[in-house]
Amino acid sequence: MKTKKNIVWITGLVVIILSIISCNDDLDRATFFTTDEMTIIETLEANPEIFSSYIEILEKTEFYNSLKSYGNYTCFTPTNEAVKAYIKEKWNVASVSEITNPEDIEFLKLIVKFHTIPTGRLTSGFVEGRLADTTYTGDYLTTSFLKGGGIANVEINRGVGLDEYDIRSSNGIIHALDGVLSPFVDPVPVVMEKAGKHTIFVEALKQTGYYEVFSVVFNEFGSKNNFTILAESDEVYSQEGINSFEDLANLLSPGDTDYANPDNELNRFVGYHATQNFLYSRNFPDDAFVNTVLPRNAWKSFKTDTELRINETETGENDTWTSLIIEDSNYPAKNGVYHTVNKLFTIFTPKPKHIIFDVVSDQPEYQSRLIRRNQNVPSTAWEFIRWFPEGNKRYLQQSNRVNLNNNILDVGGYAWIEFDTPVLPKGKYEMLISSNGGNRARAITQIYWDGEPIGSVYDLTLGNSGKGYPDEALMESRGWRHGYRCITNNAGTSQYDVAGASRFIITKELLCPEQKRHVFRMEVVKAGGTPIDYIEWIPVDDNSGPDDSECYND
Amino acid sequence: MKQNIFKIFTIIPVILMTLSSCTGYLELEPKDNLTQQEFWKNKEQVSAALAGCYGSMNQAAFTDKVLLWGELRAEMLVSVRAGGNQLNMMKNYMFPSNALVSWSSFYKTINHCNLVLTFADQAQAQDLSFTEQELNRIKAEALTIRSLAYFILVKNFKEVPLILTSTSNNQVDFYPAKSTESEIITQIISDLEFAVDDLNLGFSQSAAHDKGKMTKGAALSILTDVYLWNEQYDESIDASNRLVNLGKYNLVDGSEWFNQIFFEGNSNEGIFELQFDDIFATINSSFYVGNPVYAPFDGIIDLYQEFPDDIRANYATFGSPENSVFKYAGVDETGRYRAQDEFYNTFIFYRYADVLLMQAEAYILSSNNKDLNKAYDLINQIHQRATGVPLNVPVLENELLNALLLERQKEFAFEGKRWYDVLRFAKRNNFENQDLILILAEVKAGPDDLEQILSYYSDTESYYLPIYQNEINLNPNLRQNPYYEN
Repeated sequence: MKTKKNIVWITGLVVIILSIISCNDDLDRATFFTTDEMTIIETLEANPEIFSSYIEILEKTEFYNSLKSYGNYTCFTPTNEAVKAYIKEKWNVASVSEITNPEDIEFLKLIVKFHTIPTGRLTSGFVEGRLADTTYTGDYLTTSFLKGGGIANVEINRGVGLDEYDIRSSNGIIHALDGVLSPFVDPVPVVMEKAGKHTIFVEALKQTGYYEVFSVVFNEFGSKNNFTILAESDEVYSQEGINSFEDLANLLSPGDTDYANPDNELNRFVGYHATQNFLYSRNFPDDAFVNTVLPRNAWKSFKTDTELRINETETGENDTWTSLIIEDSNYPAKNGVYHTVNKLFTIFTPKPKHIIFDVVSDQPEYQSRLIRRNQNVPSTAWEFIRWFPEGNKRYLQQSNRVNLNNNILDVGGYAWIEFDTPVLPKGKYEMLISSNGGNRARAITQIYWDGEPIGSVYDLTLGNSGKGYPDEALMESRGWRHGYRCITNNAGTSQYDVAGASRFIITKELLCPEQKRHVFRMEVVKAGGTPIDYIEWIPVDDNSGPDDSECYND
Repeated sequence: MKQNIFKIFTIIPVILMTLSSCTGYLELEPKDNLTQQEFWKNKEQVSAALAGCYGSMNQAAFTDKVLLWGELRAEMLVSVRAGGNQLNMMKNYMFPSNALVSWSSFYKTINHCNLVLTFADQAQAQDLSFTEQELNRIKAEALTIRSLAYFILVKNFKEVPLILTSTSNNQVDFYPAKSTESEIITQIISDLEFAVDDLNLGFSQSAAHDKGKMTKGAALSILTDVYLWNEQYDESIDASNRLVNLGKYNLVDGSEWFNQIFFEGNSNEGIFELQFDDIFATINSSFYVGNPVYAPFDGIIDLYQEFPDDIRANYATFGSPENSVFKYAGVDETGRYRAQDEFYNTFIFYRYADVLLMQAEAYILSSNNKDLNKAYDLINQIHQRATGVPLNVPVLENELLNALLLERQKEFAFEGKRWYDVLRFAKRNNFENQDLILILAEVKAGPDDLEQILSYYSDTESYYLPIYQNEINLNPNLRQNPYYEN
């Protein structure tokens, strides 16, 4: 009996002790971090003398917790004085807490989004031009070194300086700003008009109706427009003896005041000043044409080792090109950017040249990052690509792809697909196309040029023997050519050595009697996948040697 | 009871044993190494320590910086396959975490010298065969090496901690702050002026000893350079004249310019050259023709076209069409190159031509001893030796200065001098000639980055390097140089 009592007591004691011990869980109710580095928010909070006002804004706009989360953000963070000055000017209040109007809070949200980029960017990545990624408002921030003095004097959006930079935290980079960046709201012409250096050009925009055209931020399909406008400043005009809009109009279209008419010379002149490609100065292509808003025309962009030359005539004379006045260029707006050219920028008629048209990378939607890789979109999302029947398609991009710019347009299940080509200067060309072929599931198509069938069928199912690969002469006789040696993937494999990337010779004699954009269409003979890489036009010149497949820049 | 007594008898000896045995056990002298107290006992040990000072310079961590700090920010070299840190330095885009600015190898050398200076006296006291004269000579060599290291630091960082005592125990200040430029230069000058008297005129064992060790000539060359950097032109003239009056050095003949000075090394013209009995890694990895990191900038090759007979042109200074730095990588004027295992070059810090041109510069700029004709003669000596024709410039201050800078560029191409030459010319009278540096941006820019590179070169504070971030993290008293404070 006594032992039984003891056992009960002992068991009870053990149970109590066990429960006490087991409950004492060290891990309870604590938050754990994979790093003891501070987050962006913790870093800001650790420096209230600089960042307390911005913290208040973050709390007010409910972005406070987002910047605690996992990620790698770039936060441009205005200092307390900067915030104070900004809200004083905008709302005439002394502190963030006084802002209560819901509309104003919406605007504060816009400001925070405009100051945040989803990828971490250190100042070492800053260039003269735009940053590589857009902010959460979908805009590019620009960085400029024009003030001199290195990184410490960089200006963001040509107006705001860095107070402290490259402050690292566990989920991103903080750059403290000595001012608040004003979110872009105005389209390019409005920004240009407000800046006041291009009054004659702005007047020409208005008189020709392009002011409204270039002020459209979203097109009819809902995607964002991006215009790049090259404008002469009043100073440049005055060097040419043009001191008013009338001078300009008299020079270009004497006697014809119907400026809104697309055939009017002034109208054409203004249309030629813009493109729908999104080009900061450093984004101008090394050697290529840029289609202009004026139909059937293009700028010829060429970079030497040291400078950008636009519309260089190939006469061998010096200084026949136009370039940008960098101090007055790279001014951003909601729907694009404008630059100042250094002389009167007249319509240029280029000579035929080798043109490679990357069906993905040369699209404005790609350049402004509206459409990203692997993103399935309807054909209406692309302005210059159409297909039928309607269905979402995507492009693929990965550094291991042996393709020009490592991307292809991945289409299948279509009856036809067509592209608006770049502007081709008039002349005679060979036309070739490269896709990833050599597989029985691929398509066989007939190509149409401006509505007319051209060349034999494009058979992507052909294997090596069918093309005659790798014997160059045999391939040529069967209408095929090796890919380029200089188009490689990250492992160094070149198109020349990949049978599937061989170029199909659509025709050796394509006559283009006038300079314009054409329609390139593929109609299905046998359905299948068609990963299209690029289409190219090689001028047929009696003097030129055989294409050696080294590189397309030769 | 009997048992207890037995226990006590065993316990007491055990206790006694443990007590006595402890003494030897507590001695913590290492058995496999010499300690400070055991070293520094005789002449040979001090000589060995001095050899350590030279040895510490004789490695890539040191020579890489001597070469790259002196060249990359200027316009002489372009990259073939340089790394990111080097490319950034070529654009003068410098930031504190760029490992290329680490000065630790220089302070290692400085500490080696400080050890010799601190402990040589006690060794001499213990070694009867160690004469006062030898002691002074050894200390003077250490002082001269230390001065050279500090001078390189001051040219690159402007302000650095001036450490004159050795780090041999834990009583020293591990957190020194920076000294000013003038404090450091004053120290260098007084050390060198003191050392000159005690240094040997030369060493007879071999040319390698003679050129590879610090001599009167070496100290006077550094002095000439320091005075010139510090805009003390009369003192610079005096120091260089003292060197000329040693009568020991002369210019080699033009026809032997490449062969004797650079291929064979240790020429009559050489004053101080680091000796490598092994492959000279810095030069080998930077310029070996089979796989160079750097190549001459195109514009440099054009410089030599002005005089068709310039013996410093192709297959002397540079190699074309290989586009190589032939001065280090070549063998002879037929265009033969050193194989990868033949880089037994010396590294020339000073040679007679350099001293003559520094003297010319001082004669042009001095107000008390200004002598443009003398300056012309000096520049002309170098010019005529190389080109065979007399220098054709008017004997006017500005014309001579321009001719001098150009002559230095051609004569000392790739010898780690160009950036300091440009900076010295630019910084006179409060950066009166900043343009000399700003035009470098145009040489370096591509079509998209002129503004950016110009911006990196625009602030005169940026001509001095940042202190390496590690040093800042370790030493709370060290303040980052002004341009790099963030």
